[in-house]
Amino acid sequence: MDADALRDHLVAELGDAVEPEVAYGTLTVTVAQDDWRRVAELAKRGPDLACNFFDFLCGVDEEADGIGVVLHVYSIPHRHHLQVRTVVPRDGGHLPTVSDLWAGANWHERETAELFGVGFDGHPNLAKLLLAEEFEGYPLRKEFALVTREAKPWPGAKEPGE
Amino acid sequence: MGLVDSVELPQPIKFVFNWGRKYSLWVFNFGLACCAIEFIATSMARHDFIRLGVIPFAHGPRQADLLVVSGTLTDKMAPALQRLYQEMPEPKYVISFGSCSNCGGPYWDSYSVTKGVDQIIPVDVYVPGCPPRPEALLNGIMTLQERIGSEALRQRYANGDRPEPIVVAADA
Amino acid sequence: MATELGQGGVAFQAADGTGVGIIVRDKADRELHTQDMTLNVGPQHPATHGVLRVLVTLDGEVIEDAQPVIGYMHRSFEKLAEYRDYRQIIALVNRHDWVSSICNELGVAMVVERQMDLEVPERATWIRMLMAEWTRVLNHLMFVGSYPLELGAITPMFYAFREREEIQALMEWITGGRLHLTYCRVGGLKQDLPRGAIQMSRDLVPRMRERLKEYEDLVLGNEIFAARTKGIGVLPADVACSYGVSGALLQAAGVPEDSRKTEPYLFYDQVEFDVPTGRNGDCYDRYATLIARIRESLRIIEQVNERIPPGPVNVKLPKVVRAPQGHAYVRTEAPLGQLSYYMVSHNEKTPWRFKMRTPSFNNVSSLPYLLKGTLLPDMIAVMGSMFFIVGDIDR
Repeated sequence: MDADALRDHLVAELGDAVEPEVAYGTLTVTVAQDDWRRVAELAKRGPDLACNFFDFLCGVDEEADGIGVVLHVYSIPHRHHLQVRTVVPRDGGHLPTVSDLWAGANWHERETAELFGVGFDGHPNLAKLLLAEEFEGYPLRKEFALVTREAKPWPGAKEPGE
Repeated sequence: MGLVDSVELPQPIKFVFNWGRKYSLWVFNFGLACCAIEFIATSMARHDFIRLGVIPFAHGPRQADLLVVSGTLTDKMAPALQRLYQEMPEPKYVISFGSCSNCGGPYWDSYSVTKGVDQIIPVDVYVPGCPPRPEALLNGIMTLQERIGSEALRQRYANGDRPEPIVVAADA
Repeated sequence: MATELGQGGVAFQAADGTGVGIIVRDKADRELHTQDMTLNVGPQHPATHGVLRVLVTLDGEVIEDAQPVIGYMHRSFEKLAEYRDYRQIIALVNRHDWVSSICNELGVAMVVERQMDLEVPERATWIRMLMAEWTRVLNHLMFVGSYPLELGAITPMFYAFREREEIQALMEWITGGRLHLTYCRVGGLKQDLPRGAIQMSRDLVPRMRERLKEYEDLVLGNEIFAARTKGIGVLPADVACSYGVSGALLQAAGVPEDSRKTEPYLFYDQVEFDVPTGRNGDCYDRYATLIARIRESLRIIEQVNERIPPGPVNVKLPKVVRAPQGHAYVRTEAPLGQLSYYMVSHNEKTPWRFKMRTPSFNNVSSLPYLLKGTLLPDMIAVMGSMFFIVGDIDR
């Protein structure tokens, strides 16, 4: 199904719970935190969606709104992409895990948890994946400043974009 | 090490002694990242550093005298490097290959990269480049060999100061 | 003929009366108490491709559990990209999969162009395809040489690097670089092809083809190689999809998923090539798929060589490049698998969020599944057949 047909199908299935948006040929649906699991299950198990290929799960810092989490899956038989997006609060935000639906989500959720500070309930092992054990802070949040850049200005003549 | 580091050797013996050491360097390849690919390319048929006497088949740090750190060193990996360097027996030399191991390279502002391997271990020769050409590594090895050839081991261990590092220019 | 021994063993004698073998009873009946051993493989290890550490729990020689520990090459590309201009990211991003530089840059240039709605000149697109396919051959040759090295065969490594040197000479002629080319720019390429480049490319293709036959005879036809890789490390197709495994590994499992065919980008829909698939999804199939992919890439290169039209190779960009507010997603087929970029922009000079979904991250996350129940000597065979680059895993 192409992006528009997919959008209509999802709106028909889930109604108000999704806010679809088609940008550059990819469908992104924004859902509330509580519908995360339901939409993920529909994406995996719904016969018309059948999104069996796990692409990625990542976080996006939305500043005042919180931390956004984006899940991107692909259906090999139907050849369509689906992006599901939600926003969780900055402090103590958590989502149910989808690592039982797609095994690849295991590592992606671990990475998002350590880089953004988002919890995933039901995840078997949310230990640090990429960062060193003694690392403190959530590096990909916007308030995490790069120490070297603060200590010394960029050695090039101009800042990027000037 | 006995007599060698407590007595100034007479010139002919020093010459032969250093000549033997510099032409049989067993290298422990600490290949971390992209520079490791250029290191492997240098050991292969076209550029071949084995003809300089540098042999890449050291089974581990305990049988090596040269450590070539090629690639980015992260803070997570630094303790492993420190430990492997300490396992090498003296006299040992270190070549820092590539700009990531010289000074952090393109990741100079990263939160997880060690800005230069010389923060952890002492370095003898720095080979700049990203990644340096195989010919640059050959030049770096030859520079190290020249230094070893003129080295007095007694001086090396005398006061604990390391000799000045040599920066190999890209067009030299 | 079997006779019961005391102590729970069974002795048997071959039918022609030669030799006696002792079979010990299996685990459930054993009287000996055993303990699992934890073995640490890496992070510095001759057989792992770079700094990958695997914590292996062993029961005798059988692996019960294998947990990869990654992060020893985490250089925080995603954070660094937020501090760099859209054009500067290209120079940074060709270093995560460090044996295929153009294929990484391509995705970044495409995602920025997609968000800015930039039209890339036709000549630039064809040349990008040519460079991407040669880079794919370079990447696959690396693994064609190093996988037998891990199994004990030293010669293919030298042959593979001989090929790589010739292709790198072509890359150097065109771009000036050997490993990190930084040739793609937002809106096209850095510069046009120099004189003689297409002819060099044309001459190189039949030479590469001939040498591929050497690999097939030397390695695939070798009994020891076949015995060590057939039936080992079988990855079924549905498990592979669930993990997000892609590229040669997924194709060897029988799924012909290749984004050059299913969602063609550049001009891949105008050239003819096939997607090779394996049957069993074991290590042998993965290696054979790799060689078949090289063959297909050479086919594409042959066709592209004849089809490059004249014209400009880049567009004039404004001094300050800004992508409009929004987010874009691009999916490409990197040599190691599916490489996708997801970029969020807030209409600033630098991207707001730059997510790189690298193929090796998902490929290696399937290691616990694959290594469970295998024997320790087979672990190296399985890990090598994952064809990963550690920079691609950790970014």
